Amino acid sequence: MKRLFLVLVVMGFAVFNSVSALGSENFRQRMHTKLWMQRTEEDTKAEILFGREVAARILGMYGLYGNNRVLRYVNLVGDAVAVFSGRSDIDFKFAVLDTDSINAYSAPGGYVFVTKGAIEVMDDEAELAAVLAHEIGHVVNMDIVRELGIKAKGGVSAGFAKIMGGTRESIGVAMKQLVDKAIQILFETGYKREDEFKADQTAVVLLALSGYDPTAIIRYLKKVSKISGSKTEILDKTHPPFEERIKRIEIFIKENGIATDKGVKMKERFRKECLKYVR
Amino acid sequence: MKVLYKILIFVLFVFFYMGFSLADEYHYENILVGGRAADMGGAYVAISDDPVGCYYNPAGIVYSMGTNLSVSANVYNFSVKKYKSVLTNYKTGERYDWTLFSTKLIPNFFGIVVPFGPGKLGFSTAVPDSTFRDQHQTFYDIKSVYVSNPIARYIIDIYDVDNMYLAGPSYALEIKEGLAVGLTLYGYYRDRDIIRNHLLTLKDGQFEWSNFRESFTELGLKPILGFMLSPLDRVSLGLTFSRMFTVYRSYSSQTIYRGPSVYMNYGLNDIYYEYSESSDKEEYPYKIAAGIALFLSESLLFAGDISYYTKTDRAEAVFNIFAGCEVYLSEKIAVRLGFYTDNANTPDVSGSSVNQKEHVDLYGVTGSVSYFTRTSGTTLFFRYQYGVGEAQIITGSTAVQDLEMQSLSVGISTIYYY
Amino acid sequence: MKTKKILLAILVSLFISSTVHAKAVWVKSVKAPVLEAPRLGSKVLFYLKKGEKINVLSEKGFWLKIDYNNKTGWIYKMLVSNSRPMSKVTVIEKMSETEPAVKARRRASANISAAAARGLVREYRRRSSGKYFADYKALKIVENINITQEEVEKFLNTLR
Repeated sequence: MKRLFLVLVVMGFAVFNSVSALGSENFRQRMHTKLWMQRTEEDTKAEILFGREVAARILGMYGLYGNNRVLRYVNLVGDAVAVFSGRSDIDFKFAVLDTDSINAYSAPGGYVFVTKGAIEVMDDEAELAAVLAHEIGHVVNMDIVRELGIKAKGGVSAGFAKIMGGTRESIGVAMKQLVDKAIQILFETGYKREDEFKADQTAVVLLALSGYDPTAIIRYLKKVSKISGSKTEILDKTHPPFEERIKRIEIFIKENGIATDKGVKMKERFRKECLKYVR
Repeated sequence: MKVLYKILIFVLFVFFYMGFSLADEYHYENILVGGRAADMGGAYVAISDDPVGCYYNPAGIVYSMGTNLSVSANVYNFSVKKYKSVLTNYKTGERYDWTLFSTKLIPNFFGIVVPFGPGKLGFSTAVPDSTFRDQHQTFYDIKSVYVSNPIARYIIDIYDVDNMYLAGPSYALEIKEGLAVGLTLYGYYRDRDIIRNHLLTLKDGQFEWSNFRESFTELGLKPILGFMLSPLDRVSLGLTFSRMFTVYRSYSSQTIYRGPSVYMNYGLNDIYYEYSESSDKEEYPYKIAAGIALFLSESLLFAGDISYYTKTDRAEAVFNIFAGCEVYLSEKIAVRLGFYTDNANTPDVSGSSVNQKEHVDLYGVTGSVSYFTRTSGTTLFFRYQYGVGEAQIITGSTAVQDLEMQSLSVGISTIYYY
Repeated sequence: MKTKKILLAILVSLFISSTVHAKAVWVKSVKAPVLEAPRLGSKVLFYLKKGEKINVLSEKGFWLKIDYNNKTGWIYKMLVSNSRPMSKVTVIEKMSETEPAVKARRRASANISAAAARGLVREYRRRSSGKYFADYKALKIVENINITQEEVEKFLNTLR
């Protein structure tokens, strides 16, 4: 009897100690579902191939802003933030779009764009980092990938299988439709509201981890909210209202006790390497 | 005298018929349905988070992982019913058992679940019961009821087929966080065909021959209403109500008999023939099942269920319990173990009546091992049932025989996520 | 007695198997700071690199208390994964298949400057690319920007 009791105690201890390290939101999830969540190389390849089609169309819409120096600078800032993103399986690429409209876009696979118009509104490097971090957030959270089901096996993968080894003709209709859908999300309908709020949160986290001032995103949004007209047309229709975003970010910072007095702004470097050329 | 003859007529030809029936009628959990559920001893009412949930607790399918799922299970089952020491060799006194074998290869379950509207839609088919016997046996030198005229040779042929199929849709909805409700509406089809042929040749050369045939077809509905509640983190409770309703039943039986002339006063060309038909509907019991599951971690799961079937005209109330656990050894491999009871819905056999139904309480153990990939899981399982009880196989006699039942199922079930 | 032994064996093996996959995680970001407290902005104790395996001691919200080579600290959950992280994936070699029109123009100099690209870009409208016009020339320029890991490290150091 004593032995049974001992066994039960040991079992109980073992059992309550074996809770999964990262905890699951859903307690019914069994261990094999980890296999699903593991994205394989094939999935990332499919994501990149899809993303570059979307990226090409974003560039086609506005054109690439050609200043090489600015381009390199934006990539340095973006890479510095992306280092802490947890998506080390892709190479993030950043670029500036040649348009006065104020917005930023990202495509799966790590293609991040910020418009010339947006840069003109910024006062320091931290704000640039904030906007890039928000877009990196969409890529890290895989918002478009999840929404459209981009992966190597299953889903609408037939088109991808052909792309990976096929010819020009094989970029099938299904693939084109997905790309068009992604563009629609970016320019017409916007991401899901929750995805936008999550990207804002990811931006704050990335800024804090990399060393930038985490409130930079609030400063930027406040400035943009004061501008109205055609420049913010697309931004307004694809994102939740500024007041709500700012409020949620402030709550997020407060609830997580994120220090707001640390973190750099790098105003001078921003002016010298970027603003000077853009304005 | 006439009455005695009537009794004698039936003594032999129903010798091995009246005293027993197919196992299915007396037990409710003969073949556990589905992959993971059966592997865990059928303790699935509080889990049911995959297509198999359509059968156990439709509320659970709303918690299925992934977008679309399909499950299929195929079982090979071998069952034995052994009536012990039923026949006696009049020369040597040796006792013989009479054994019934049943083998079946059945597609035990198939189901899919897809998201639909605010909840999940499922469709499944199940074969919860199936019997197939095809046997031919011969016994020699058996004691008979005619003390001075034993049985030189006794030939028994049996051909039994009895299948039940369920198919239908399910729908589940989470009405608020942690509370789900679901409904499965199965249509069922049951089909039985039995042919029994006996030929007894007595020592003095006389013979007795009987051929009995019974068949029926039944159509009906089996709705299953389920609830699932998660009152605490990692704890799930389930409750289901179900019942089979017969909508159509067509029954017929035929008996052909010719008895030994000396005792039966039969003329050379006399034969007894009886045919009957009925469309009376079968009465099935209500079933209530409740379960609890503890999802202790993503690798350890314990579950326990209890089920209750109500009393009917033909059957007693039955309680059964089920318990199971599932352990993931890695992301790719899981093992399961389960225990369950499958109690008889017949009363205990007493020594003072005749023609009682057999009573055997069965106990089962199940186990399986699964291998998972990104899009599928394949499971190899075994299920074993055992029980010892009593039967009164000889019509009109108060003698009680020991009955031992065993059943072994092995099979493969697969699950696909897409 | 025998059944008790079997039961014991089963329980023990359950216990073992349930703790077999103890709580270890891998760093999945290129760089991951381990902080003094579970709070963004608290002091950075040390940095971990992608692929390092660490032991989880406890959990608090978005943070994990970890142990690495007998040093403890807090790491943000987003930076780690339950399984070994993937190495970087590139698909550069496939690019040629999606722009056969470019092959025709390859006779020109391979190094196309950004300004020149802009001029050429508009002429590719004949490419059937669905509803929207796709600028592969500009895309190639963007993809060819190369920032080395050292340059990023140097840049990051200026932010401390």
